[in-house]
Amino acid sequence: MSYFYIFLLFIFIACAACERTKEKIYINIDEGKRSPCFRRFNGTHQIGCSSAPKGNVGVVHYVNSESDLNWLIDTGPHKPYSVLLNPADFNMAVVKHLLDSGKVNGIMVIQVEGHDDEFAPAISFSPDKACPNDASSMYKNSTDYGSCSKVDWNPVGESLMFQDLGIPIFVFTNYDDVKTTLIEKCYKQFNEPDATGSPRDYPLCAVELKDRMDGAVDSETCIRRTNHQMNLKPSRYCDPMGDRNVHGSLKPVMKNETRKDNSVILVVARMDSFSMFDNHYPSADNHVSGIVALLAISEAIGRIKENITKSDNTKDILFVFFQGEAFDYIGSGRMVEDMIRNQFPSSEGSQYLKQINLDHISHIIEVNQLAFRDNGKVWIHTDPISRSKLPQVDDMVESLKNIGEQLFDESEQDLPLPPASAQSFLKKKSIPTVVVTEHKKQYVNKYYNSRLDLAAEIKVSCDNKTSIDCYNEVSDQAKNLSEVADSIAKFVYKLATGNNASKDLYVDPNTVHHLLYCYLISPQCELFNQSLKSDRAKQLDSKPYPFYVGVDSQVNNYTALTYQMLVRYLGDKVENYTQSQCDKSDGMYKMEWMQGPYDMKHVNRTGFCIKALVNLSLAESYAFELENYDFKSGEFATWTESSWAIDAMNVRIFLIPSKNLEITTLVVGIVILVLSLVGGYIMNKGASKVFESSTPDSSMAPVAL
Amino acid sequence: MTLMEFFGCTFIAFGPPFGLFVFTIARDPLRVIVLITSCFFWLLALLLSSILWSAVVPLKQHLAFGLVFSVLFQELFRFLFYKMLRKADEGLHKVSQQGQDQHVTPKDISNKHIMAYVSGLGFGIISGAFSLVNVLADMVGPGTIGIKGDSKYFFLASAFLTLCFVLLHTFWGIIFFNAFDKKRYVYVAVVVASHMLVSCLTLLNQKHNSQNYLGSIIPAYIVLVIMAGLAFYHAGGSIKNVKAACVFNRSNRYDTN
Repeated sequence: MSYFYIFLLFIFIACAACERTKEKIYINIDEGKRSPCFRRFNGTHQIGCSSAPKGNVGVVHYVNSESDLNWLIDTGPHKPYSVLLNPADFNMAVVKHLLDSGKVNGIMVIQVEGHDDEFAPAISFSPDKACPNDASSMYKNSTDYGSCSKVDWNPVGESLMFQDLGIPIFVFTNYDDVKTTLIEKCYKQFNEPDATGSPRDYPLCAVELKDRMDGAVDSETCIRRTNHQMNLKPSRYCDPMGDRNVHGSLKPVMKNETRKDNSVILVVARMDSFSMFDNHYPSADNHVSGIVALLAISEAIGRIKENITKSDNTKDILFVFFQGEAFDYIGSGRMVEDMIRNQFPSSEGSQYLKQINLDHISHIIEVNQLAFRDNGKVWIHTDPISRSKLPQVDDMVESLKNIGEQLFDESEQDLPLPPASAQSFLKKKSIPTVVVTEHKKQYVNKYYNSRLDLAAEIKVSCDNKTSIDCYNEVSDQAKNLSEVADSIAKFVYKLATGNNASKDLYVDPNTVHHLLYCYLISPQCELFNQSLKSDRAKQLDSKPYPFYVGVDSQVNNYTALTYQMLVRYLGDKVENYTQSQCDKSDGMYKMEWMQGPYDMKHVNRTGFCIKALVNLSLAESYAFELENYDFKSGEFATWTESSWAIDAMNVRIFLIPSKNLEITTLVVGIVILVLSLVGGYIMNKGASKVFESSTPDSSMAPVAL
Repeated sequence: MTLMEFFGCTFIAFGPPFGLFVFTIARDPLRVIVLITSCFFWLLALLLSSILWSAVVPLKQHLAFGLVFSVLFQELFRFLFYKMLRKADEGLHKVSQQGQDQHVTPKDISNKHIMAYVSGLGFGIISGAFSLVNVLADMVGPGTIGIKGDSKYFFLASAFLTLCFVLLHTFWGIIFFNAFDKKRYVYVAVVVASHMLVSCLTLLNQKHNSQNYLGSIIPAYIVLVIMAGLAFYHAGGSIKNVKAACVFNRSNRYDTN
């Protein structure tokens, strides 16, 4: 008892909160301070990371220079190792080198904000392919344009995301964890080879990276395993990826009316990106710049929409934000298929509206990445195959160049379309299409679809400003984007009406800046607050939400917020409606209550009800709905994400003892056990003799003890 | 994997009590019953100590306080168990006479040292279990102690200290019971004092810089040797008898051959 307390006491010395010996053995890295790479599947492969069921234990080795890396691969005697990499060193070549050596069973990547001088930052990094979305490209079977034969859109893309790495990889975001714990306490104190390069002796500092994925093989296999459960406690192995598209139009066309062919202009943008690491989806250039530009266009056109809705001769404009586009066009693929089946829009409330199919679409305008400018211009891309058959494309390009004057220019005509949602439409039907984006040929963005596509890279950051100043001071990027959006809005208006836009049609840089702030710096911003009900506004986070499409369990935060903004920009106020009336209404219009701006005294908000022809539609692949779909056919996106248990992720740092000490302990233990067994036997035999004299009544019978 | 450390420490701490249990206790139901009962009494002492520890909030951080009272409670319950055992003598006598098993001889009752030894071992085993099981449970993972600057001998020291206490409790049991039987109360004082001494010695281990735990282990084992000698003497052993036993054993072996 007494020394039972002493052991407790041992523990109290180091830190008063600790309770067990475990706390003295392990240093845990908390969940918020590390992000795992996880596993995904498509119809034929598994990609990403996973660890052994109980985690991979490796000796920590910090690679700060080329020689550290060579030492590990040539000398390092204590395999397996877990390698700590600077941001600059995490790339395909190094990862491959490490994996091929067979000495590495885990990788840790440093990503600490504001310490670029200490941990060399990556100059360029994209885990996506050099030819993004290659497998679902409209040029897949084309000999002239297939596999990016004309140009690699994403030349820095090394396809690291699409490797089946088979080891756990974590990103570490806390400076103290990296600098103090991992480098100082762990690596330098126990593991760092001495000046002559000879390795250190045990005990060595090791890390356990646990990142256990439940799914395996490919989408088809893990979906089948999920569906065929034989036990009473079914478990999931993977879930289809998907979410919702946001779409909104101006003209209500009722079920009983006819919708004219070529009467709808599609203005679209992509909403998602990806990166290798969970919760690291900053997506600043790709595609927040596009989302914000499209919202700004919708606001500008929404303001003067009477010009379009009042007349029968104008075209309707359908604004669409696609989800899941980074994964083989999940969202646009779904919408096209819905249109072909005459099921779009299919969501509730749309039973009043006439369906839209591909024949109704007259033009497609897509806005892609827009935050940078290649040669100071914004570039128009067209599809060379359909362009020869469609004279309207030339008109569109000319018109846009006229409106944009010095700003817009056309890319080379024989270049194919860059990866874009419009490709899903063009695969099925030739529709006049332009894609407006920042790059003439290759991407200007050096961090396409990666964890490094940060707001600071496109010069949207608060630095030392207060949040109010930061929210109100229009940034240069906002001015840049509003210029672009302004021209596109006028161009779309001209396409829809045939007339040049009046002065009333303009994009407000303030709106653009507010949107950039809300999407990239903090959703807890005034604009989002105004555009939501009070209870939902209270739930807004102060950190940006992920732009990753994720599994289709609930509507993504940004999808819901984009929907809300589109309602606000395209809709009309319904006068004299209370919040409860607004919430209850149903019909072809979506009605949303918004708590509105503050009054003059900055105390109360005056809310309003807005009705709009805006809705969500499914962005889920048909591959998971059709019976007997051939997952290897490549017709629809087949992406799924592996599921993992609640305790599947863990990172802890500790010492591993020398083999000598371990063996000594065991041998001493066995010797003592054997000695005591022998001793016990002998003592038991001899006891009656030894202690005989003290026994009061000694019987002669030999007895125990 | 520190599975080797785990088994090593388990064998060190519980090997000797296991040997004693197998050869001297396990075959005899009466001894098993007494062993378990004495374990129970030790647990009651633990319960009381814990209540006191958690009740006196201001002294929670000072383990010396909990430790002193814990020692006193253990000795108190050793005394209570002694009283109970003496009261139960008659009942046990009857039980053992009715028993058909040849091992259950009246000698268990008549030779007071046997029950003293059994109850001492009971105290030792349960206290050993409670002090080491927590440590052992945490030992199975991949890591060992040391990243926060602790000595790498922590596990080994824990195991040896646990072994020491198991054996000490056994000897204390013999000495303590005999002292009451023979009314030589000075030995009661010796038991309580040495228990307090060894327990307080373990307080040295909390010194942050003590990289090895020899400062507490060596004195603890010296006390163990002294207590072993005392117990041996009290139980009626002598060097002469040991020699005789060796001779007896040898001659016995020749006989059987």
